[in-house]
Amino acid sequence: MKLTIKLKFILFNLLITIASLSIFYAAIYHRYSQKLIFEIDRGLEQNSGILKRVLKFDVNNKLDLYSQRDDGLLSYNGAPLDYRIWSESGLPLRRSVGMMFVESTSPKQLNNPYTETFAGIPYRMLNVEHIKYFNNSNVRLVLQLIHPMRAYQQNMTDLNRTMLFLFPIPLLLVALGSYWISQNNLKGLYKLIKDINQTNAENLSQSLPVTKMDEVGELTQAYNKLLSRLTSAFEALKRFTSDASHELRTPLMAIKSQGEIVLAKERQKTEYVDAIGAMLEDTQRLENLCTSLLQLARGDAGLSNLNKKEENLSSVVNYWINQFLPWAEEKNIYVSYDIKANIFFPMDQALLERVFINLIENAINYSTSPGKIEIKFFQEKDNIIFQIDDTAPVIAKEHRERVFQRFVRLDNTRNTASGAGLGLSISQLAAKKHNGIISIEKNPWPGNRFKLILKRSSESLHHDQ
Amino acid sequence: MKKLLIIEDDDKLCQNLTIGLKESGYVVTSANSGEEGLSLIMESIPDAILLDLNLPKRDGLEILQTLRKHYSTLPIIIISARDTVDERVLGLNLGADDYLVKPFAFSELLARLQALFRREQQNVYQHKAADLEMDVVQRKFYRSGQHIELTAREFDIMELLLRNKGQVVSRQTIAHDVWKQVQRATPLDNVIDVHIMRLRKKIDSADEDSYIQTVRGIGFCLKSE
Repeated sequence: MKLTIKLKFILFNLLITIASLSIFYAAIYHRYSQKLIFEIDRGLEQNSGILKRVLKFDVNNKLDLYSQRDDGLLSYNGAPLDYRIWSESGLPLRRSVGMMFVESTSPKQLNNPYTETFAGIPYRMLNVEHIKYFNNSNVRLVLQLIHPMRAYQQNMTDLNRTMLFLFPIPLLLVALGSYWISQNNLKGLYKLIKDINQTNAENLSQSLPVTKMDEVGELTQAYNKLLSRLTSAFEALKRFTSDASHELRTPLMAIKSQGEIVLAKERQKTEYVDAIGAMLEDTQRLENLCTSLLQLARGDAGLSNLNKKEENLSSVVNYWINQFLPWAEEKNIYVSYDIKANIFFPMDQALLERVFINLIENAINYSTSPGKIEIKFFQEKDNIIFQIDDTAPVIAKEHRERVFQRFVRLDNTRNTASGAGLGLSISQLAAKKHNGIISIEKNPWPGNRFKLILKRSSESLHHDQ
Repeated sequence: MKKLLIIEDDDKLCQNLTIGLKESGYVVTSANSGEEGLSLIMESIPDAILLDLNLPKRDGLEILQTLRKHYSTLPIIIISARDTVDERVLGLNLGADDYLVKPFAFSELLARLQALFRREQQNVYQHKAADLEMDVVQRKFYRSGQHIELTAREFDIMELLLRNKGQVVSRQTIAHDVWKQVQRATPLDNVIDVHIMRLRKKIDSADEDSYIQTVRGIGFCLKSE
């Protein structure tokens, strides 16, 4: 059996009940027993008085009682008065009939009653001193008053029985009560478990109904929120998988068909060279795609180890602008730039560098020819800003978020030579790993302004990741 | 002739590398496992070793450590699909001389091998091919004795091509050597193409074939004659 919350709740309540009942019972037992023994002790006290009065020495100088009927006359509460009489030196002198067969031990203490057990029966005893005038001198005797505690035992047994009989009733009530309460309150939870168990990839978007606003209701709401986050992630993953397989298949298909076609008949040597070259080009495309996908996957899984060092970002930006200038010149694109010198930033150069390469390359690639590009790099308080304006066709507002998604190419404006549409995704990922973000605005030329903002403060470094 | 040993468990790749390297003028032996490789080294020590990391039984890194213990100067190039920075650093720290990530261009491998053997030789201060001439120390370039002004990057590319004259230099090698790009997916193809185009404009004459030939799917090749 599993130790469910319900079971734990019931067991806990039962244990508490048993513990309190036990304490309660122990108190009653103790009080009752005390009271009974107190009465017995009072009787013994009275009996000692009686015994003192009726004790005498007979003609033969033996101890005797005045009463003819001896012990029978002296009784207490219907029970016979039992006694022993001891000499000062501890010799037994006389005992009552009831004590004839009870083993005798010499009196232990005076005036304080105590209990002693013989043959399984407890006896309450009280020893008192008694001085008797005898033969012209005072004889010191010890009177031992004894009460066999049979009635006491019986009383206590009765109490035990009554309690034992009553004991299960509160336990049963508590068990039933806790079961009912837990069952009633956990019903929602059980239903939730059932509902969640029925959730799978197909009905991921169905949210669960919230009936009561108790803890279970809150849990359901939290679950629903998780579900909707999962749903969108799942959708993105589905789209990503289908896009990725499409992008992988395209070069594969090209390689395969080129191979098949070139082998279909005898050809000139140059044709073979050309075909193999084309196949190698597609292999390269495939390889780049694999590398990009791997980078994204590692970035998503948080596996990419950053090797950050404080470095002069200004010179990195300058270097890459200069590398692209010849190409811009060939495309008849005028590049102007204003780079604030000596801005340092802790970065993984190989990763962050790609953002600049990618943004500059995109700007040149998509700008009209002739066109112009304006690059600014500066620091504003804790923000380091790299901004690049191009004269490419303006990306509509509704598409600006989308271009950072994987495999998204705005096909109507972007040419197909641009790769798989992963560049901006990787750049955005690289920016985020550096506590930064890339955004797109429109510039008045008209064209697009890509803006990379890197935050310097180290406190918020991990929030965006 | 330089002797090479390939330790690689993939038969097809091993076979291709062997053929390619033999055609490039190396003497090649190959082993499918680390143990076999080690026993081949006992027989005769090669000039360099190409070592795969994912090997059956004993991992390539183990083999590397064993080799380094006994042959401290033997050049070793790791060829592996393990591509993260950490793995590369580990391989180099354990004593590899170079690290090539699969899939690599064959010309890239050739270039690295040459670089490896060149390290042992003296530095080359001058390059010559046909009527082209390069002074590496003064960073000057001449065609038929006439000085041609090159930008820094153009000079670097030209030097790379001259050093490997007659052989194909891949775009990867150019991105790696000239722009120091380790990650292969960095989109520098456009930049490389523009630089090559400008180089051609500067050094070629209108009535002759270009010195720099494009080899489709791989890269560029400098005519040696």
